[in-house]
Amino acid sequence: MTRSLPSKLLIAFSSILLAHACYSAHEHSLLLSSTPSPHDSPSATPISGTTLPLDITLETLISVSLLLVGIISSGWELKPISLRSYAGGVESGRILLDGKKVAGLFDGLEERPGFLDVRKQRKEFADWVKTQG
Amino acid sequence: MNAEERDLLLNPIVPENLVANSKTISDLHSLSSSLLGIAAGILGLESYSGFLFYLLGTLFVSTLIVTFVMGGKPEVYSRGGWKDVIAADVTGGVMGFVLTWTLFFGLVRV
Amino acid sequence: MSVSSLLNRFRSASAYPAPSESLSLSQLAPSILNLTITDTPEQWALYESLLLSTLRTADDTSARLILQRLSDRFGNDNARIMALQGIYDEATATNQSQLEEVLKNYTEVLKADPTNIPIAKRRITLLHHLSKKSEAISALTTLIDLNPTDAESWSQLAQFYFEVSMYPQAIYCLEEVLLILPNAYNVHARLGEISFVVAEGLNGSASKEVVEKLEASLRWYLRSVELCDGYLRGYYGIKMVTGKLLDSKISAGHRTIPEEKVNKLNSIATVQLNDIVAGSEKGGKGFVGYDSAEVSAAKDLLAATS
Repeated sequence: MTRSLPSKLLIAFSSILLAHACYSAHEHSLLLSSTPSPHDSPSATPISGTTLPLDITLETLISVSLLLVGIISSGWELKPISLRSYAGGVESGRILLDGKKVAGLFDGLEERPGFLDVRKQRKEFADWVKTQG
Repeated sequence: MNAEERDLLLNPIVPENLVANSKTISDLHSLSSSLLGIAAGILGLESYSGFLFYLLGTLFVSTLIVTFVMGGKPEVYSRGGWKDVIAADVTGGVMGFVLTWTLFFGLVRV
Repeated sequence: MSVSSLLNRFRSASAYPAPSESLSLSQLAPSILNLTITDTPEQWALYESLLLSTLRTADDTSARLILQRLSDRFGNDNARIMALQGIYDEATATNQSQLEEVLKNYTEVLKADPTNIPIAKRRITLLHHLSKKSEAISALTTLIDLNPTDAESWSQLAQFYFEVSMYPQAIYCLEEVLLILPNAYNVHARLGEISFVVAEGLNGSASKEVVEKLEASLRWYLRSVELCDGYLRGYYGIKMVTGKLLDSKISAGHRTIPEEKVNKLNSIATVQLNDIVAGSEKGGKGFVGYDSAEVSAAKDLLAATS
């Protein structure tokens, strides 16, 4: 997963905004509990979120939406599930791993590592070295 | 042999990719559900309104996943397409949502 | 570099890397050997790949050290380590008699434990290397009797039969591979290639049999591109076989696939090959996976038929 710079900035910005909204909501509830309620009856002190000022509500909603966008758009990679498009992507190089070609799903059937003729490969390499001088 | 089996034989799928994709998607879901829980806690939502918020939030998250992660083509990356993404979303994240919801509800309010 | 990124580097190279690739992989040996041993499966897989790379480039000192660490960890009587030890012995043998010695050693191990499959495979490879082809084939058929679900063995047997021009047997073996792994698109393409070779080898180019073989070849190639989108090898084959089928020397009466279909397939293959060749030459982003030798072969084919 490679995070792009815009996503990183978006995540950082919206996290700060969310933390701020959280702090504001906390301050607001402190304020509510320390100031006597206008109706003077202790049971009437509302604790529910409906008393939260509009700006804090909006700030929370916007920051969470932005945070979600930032996280989800930050380069999560899925692979096609159909063999046709996955194998096609691997063979053509549309799907890469660390910028390198991924080994095909059935390459082993033609490379057959169990039957590796190491002497032949060694000789090929030695010949190549000779041609390089 | 029914039509579905026949289709699987003609157009096989790669099981490893199916598993890897659903893991990535469920990771995304648990992360986003926790964030939704934080928001619900700060807003001080209670009982049904909280779950309604969760439902709307997951629909939003599913839309984001389909547009950003799947490039608008959910059927390429999951067998059920749209339905799968939303179903995994709604069922997979409830626990994380409730956890952070209650936690932040308690933290913010004294 | 971390173990996993190093391992990816080795995995992206084929089992038959180009010499320059072998050299650069082998040169990673000191840095890999200096990493602390964390005893993870990835690290041992990396050691195994590195051992083969160092043996290819004749870096026998590093190979000895890697093998030592592997056998310290897994023991000398582990079948896989025995096979790696065998590869080391084969690679470092300096004369024929030493190789015969290794072969005798394999035979003895197998006498004690006939189910040691890695060693059985080494013995077959060495027999083949020593040009004892019929012995290699019979040893391999014995191994397949013992372990009939091993697709690698079937595929190797097909290759042995192909080398001695026993094409029907080779095709049978590859069909067995497809029974085990029905989605192996490269095996489909290989079957197409062998059927094409058979058709080419038959005399009397207008006979019914030739057309049959060419059509069989075409069907194998078509399935390979159905299983793998944009498969260069498959489209190359389709272009080649349809070209042959449309040849005026082939009598149309023997064909079971209608001419317009063959024509259409030919033009589809041409379009696909043109796309791949153009994309690869531009170095397009989605084309870096194609082998340059295959691309230039496709280019030659397109030039020859246009």
